[in-house]
Amino acid sequence: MLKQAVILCMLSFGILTSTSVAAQTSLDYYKKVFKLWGIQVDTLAPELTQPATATGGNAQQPTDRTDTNRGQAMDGRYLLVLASQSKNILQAENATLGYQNVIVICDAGEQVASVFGVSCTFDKLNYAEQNPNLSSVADTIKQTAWSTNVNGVNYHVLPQVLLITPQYQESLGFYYKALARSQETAGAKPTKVTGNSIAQNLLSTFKDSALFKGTVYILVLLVFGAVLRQPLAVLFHQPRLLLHRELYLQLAQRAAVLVTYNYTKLTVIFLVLALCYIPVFYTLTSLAGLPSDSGYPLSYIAATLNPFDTQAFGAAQTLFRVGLQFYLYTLALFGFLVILPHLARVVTSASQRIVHVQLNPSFVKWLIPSTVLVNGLALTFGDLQTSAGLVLLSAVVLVTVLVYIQSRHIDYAGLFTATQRRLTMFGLLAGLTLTTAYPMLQQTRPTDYAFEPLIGIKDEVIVFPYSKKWGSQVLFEPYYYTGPSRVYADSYLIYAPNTNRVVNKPLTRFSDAGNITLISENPDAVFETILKTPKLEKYLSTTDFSPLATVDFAPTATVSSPTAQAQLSVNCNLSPPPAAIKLTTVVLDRFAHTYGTTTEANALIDPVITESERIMNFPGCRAETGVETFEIPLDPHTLPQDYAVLLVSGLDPQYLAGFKLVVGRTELPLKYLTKEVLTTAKYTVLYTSPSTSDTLTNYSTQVRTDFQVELTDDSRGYDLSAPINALLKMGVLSNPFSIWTDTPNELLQKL
Amino acid sequence: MPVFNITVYALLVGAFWVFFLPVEKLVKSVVHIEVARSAVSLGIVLCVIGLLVHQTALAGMVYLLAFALCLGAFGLGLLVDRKYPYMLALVFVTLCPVLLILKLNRLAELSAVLCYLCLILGITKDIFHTKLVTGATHA
Repeated sequence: MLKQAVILCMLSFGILTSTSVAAQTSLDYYKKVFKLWGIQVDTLAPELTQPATATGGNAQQPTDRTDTNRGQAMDGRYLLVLASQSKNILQAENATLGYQNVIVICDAGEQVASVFGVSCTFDKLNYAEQNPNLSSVADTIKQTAWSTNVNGVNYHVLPQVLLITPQYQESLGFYYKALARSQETAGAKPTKVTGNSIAQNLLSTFKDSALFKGTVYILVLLVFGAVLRQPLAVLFHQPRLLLHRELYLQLAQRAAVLVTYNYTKLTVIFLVLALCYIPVFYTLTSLAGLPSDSGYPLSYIAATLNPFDTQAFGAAQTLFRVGLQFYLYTLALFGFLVILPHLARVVTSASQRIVHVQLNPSFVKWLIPSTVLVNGLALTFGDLQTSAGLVLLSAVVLVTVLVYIQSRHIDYAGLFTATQRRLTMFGLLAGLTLTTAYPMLQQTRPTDYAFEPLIGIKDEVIVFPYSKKWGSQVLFEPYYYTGPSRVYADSYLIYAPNTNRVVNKPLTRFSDAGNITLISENPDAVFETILKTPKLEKYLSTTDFSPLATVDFAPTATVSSPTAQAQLSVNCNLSPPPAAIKLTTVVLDRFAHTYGTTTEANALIDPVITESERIMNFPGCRAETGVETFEIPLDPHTLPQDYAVLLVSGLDPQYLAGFKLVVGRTELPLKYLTKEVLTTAKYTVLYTSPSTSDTLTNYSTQVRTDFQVELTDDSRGYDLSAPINALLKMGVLSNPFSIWTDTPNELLQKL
Repeated sequence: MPVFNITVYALLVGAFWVFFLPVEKLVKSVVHIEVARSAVSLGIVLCVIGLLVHQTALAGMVYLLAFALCLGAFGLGLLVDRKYPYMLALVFVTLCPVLLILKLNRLAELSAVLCYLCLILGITKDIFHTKLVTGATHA
């Protein structure tokens, strides 16, 4: 067993070849997708897209060809090319030499008929205009994916839409997975390759092999058979014995005996495995090239321990990590088996010692009342958050002492003298009275506030925003502001120049009468208000493109339209990474809108219905592509039939250049909303009226109750502490709260 | 949360009184039922635990298990031979410089804390053992 374990361990670490992380381009993404389906693909070098003169006119070889397989027939392997890559005819033809299977992805409608004798025009079906959820489309995909043989080479010509639309990609995956399985079954010609390639191929194919599945089933059967052998026999012959605990004790003892009997072997295996830590540390340090960072191996090992990451390690082909994870768990298992007998002995011995201990009666006598009294004081002067731990600890102590007294048959009351009894009763009664009366006394007494400076620190320069932490029953001393900006405390406007009065109101009660300002920290609340009060839309709209928009689906009758399509333009100049693009639609819940959500029964109903669907697997794109537009088919039934807020997410807005929605043949008029609405980490001013007047109304997503401030400043300026103190008394400020201005980084104080 | 606090404290006082006062005689004279005082007290304390676990959304259960483990370990530490905590402290303090030389600072810190805990346990045992446990000597 020792020998086997050592060989297994060495095998795991023998596989040190791991694929390095490459730049994320659309080709890399597609390659990864095909690999996940079990199709071994090679790709062409990026230089292939350059003119022949630039590369000396030499034919380029696929980047994935290794020295071992170069020049041989690429049996079972595929060449993956983008139509946009094959601008140089000569190079493209040369590059395909040796490959019997070529996958051509038609991106950006490039025609490649002159290169491979195949075309990117699809007469079977225009996928971009179909409902991706229709089952007939999935059948047509299989027909499209079927290869065309030209000059002995099988060409799989795939429109890009099949790989970027999640539903199509899934259907295509079924076909290629089946293709990969069929190729495995047919069997490839054995080739002379290195040891590492053998291990890699074996590992990559073993998981899907019948041998693996058969082995797993047999192992599970063996484990269950071994563990349940006796209970099953008992169940068959004497079912009543199953209710006796001796049966289970016997089972546990058998496992313990097995461990004890093989203890020496287990210890030796554990020690050998533990010694392997030395080469592991050495390997990790040398692989990382960080000889001076002794913490690196530890952090690497810690990151490797997560069992949920095994699949990710496998997908990334970081086989060293898979091997290390296996080794660590094996080591932990043997460590546990080695420690187990000692641990069991300690627990047994400790339990016996604790059970047989004879505590001093005087200690036991006072332990209970003193514990109860301490809890009383903690519960009187502290809140549950601070005293819950103490009460739980006390409960454990009390349970232990009560069990101890009961098991020793101690006459507890007899331990006390008459005076001690009276004293104890009086103490506990006083505690109970104090616990009951103190909170009531606190409520009737006027709060005695302490005053402290609003700006406590004495730095030479302080700029807004300023975060202020406050204690209970604390108010702030006057602090005079003379600056030109509007000042906010959290979401409340507390000062505005050239205004006599400021009124703070919840955004849900939005009205565009008078002078207004809008601030937000919660996009959901803004969406809800827009849907309830569409006139808010005009204050948030923008002429520039934004991933956030409103649209009225009602006039277009989306359900009756057979097709729907999204057109997403991506700015490739910034080299956006691959991403899953989602389309989120938010509409008003008609029931909640009609009957309200203020009653207890309706309070559980969300006032809006939010649906989010992945519409595209964006593969990434190269900078030279410029702005690329993707046409993505949508299922019209998944679109709302009402006035809705749309949000395109998944890719940073900076990469997005445009978004259109076409239902049937009609392009829906989208009204873009400012991206600031999506800000969640801080308060953002969404809109402010250009003119000034006596009263300024601040609508905010975070304001719950109206709050009015009369702005009367004297020669020293305006006292910011006055409204802040009022808000503190209302209990609406967070702790710490933020004092900020609409002018970023305004100088607050200079001493 | 004054009502909850008052309830918890009242229950704890009630648990003590049931255990302390001859309640079983009163119950027997009124309803003619034999009552096990310790069982009732235990039940009330368990009610308090249940209330707290409910109020703390099961986080209390984690606390409870951790307290039980720590209390058990502390009890064992008080009952074992006094040489063990001191010897363990010696092992950990010896390990510290070795780990520091190997630049495993976090492990060295852990070792130092464990050494400190062993010393505290040893000293606590030396001071309180004879007062808490009947017939105990400075073993």
